[in-house]
Amino acid sequence: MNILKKVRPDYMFASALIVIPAFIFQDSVLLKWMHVFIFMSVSVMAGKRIRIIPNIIMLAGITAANLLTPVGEVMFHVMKFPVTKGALYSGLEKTALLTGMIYISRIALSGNFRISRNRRNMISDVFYYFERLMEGDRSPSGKIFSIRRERILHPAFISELIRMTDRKLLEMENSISNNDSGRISEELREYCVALSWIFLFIFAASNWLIYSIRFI
Amino acid sequence: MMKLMTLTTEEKTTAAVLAALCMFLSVIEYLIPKPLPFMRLGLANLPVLVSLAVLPGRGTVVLVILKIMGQGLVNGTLFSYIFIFSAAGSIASCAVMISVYTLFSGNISMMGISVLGALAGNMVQITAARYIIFGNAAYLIAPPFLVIGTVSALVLGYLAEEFIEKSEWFESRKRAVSEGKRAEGEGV
Repeated sequence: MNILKKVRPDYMFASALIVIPAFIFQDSVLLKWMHVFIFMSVSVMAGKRIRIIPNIIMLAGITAANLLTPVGEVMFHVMKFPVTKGALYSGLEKTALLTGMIYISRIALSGNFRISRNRRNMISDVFYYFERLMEGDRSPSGKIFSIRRERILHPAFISELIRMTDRKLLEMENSISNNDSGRISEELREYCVALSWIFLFIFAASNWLIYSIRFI
Repeated sequence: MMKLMTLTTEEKTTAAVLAALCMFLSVIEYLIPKPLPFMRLGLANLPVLVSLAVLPGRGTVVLVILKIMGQGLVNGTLFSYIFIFSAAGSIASCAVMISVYTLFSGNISMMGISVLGALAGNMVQITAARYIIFGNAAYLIAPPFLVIGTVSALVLGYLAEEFIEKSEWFESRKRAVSEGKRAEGEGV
């Protein structure tokens, strides 16, 4: 399913920037949700997980919060509580905007998005140290950390966390080394660039097409 | 203004390492089960508290900016409202913590600084939520949000005190920062 894993991160970033105005300036709630559906699909194709429950909680929470202030005509009642058209519309629009921006951010920063340390600045230093801190904590099972959940729930975890953090910082300072890996073949590079252009065109065109529907 | 934000090499290194630690701790926090989506300990704020004791105020400001940018990039929330909330809360909390630490240095514990910072950050986030997403209903979630935030801040303040007291890395960094400042002051 991760067919977009080979799309270059800079193209993903650029495509997200191209699409953002079409999404933000979309007036129709229905069409806005269509954008969100596309963002979610692309996010899945780029290998990201979609967590349904938090999205549903967010949708319900924001819509309910907006319904507390009645606006416009009453559509129906839920246990004597009036559900108004304007408030429902506003709640659904805000949820679409929030959800969509989360997924577009994920698309923009997916893949191996990284800042080169050759251009020395503090942000690249932060990412360099972050990668050093993460080193050695990936277990063969694919879990991000070798820390087990049972240990996290143990009362002694806090002092263990302090010890662990201190040890990791000391280890990192002692063993900072340059490590350049991940060179890819020319053939694969050409394939990735072609795939990236195709993705950028389809993603941008589909979203701007949805945006232009309102003018038809 | 640029002069005001100038840091020594050791201060820059310390700020960058602490910002990386913010991102590392936010990944660890991801593993801790939460009963509700907004209930979190805020472990990523631990390095900000620690920085107060090792960096000058402008160093903490730089750290907070790096933390906001780094977390936005790693979590993929750079263009979302979550980023605005995070940035607004972090900046407000940073301003309060630096002011309190500078004004009452030595007379207030890390737990006190942490609680005041959290209250400022949470109140700014509630105000932002009021205008951006929830409308007046934001004030309904304010009391539990503030209570949870205060309890988390107390725990975090305790953790920061423990870290400052026991960490060998902190000791060595503190020494390096003061030596670096002295060396650069002498023009070495």
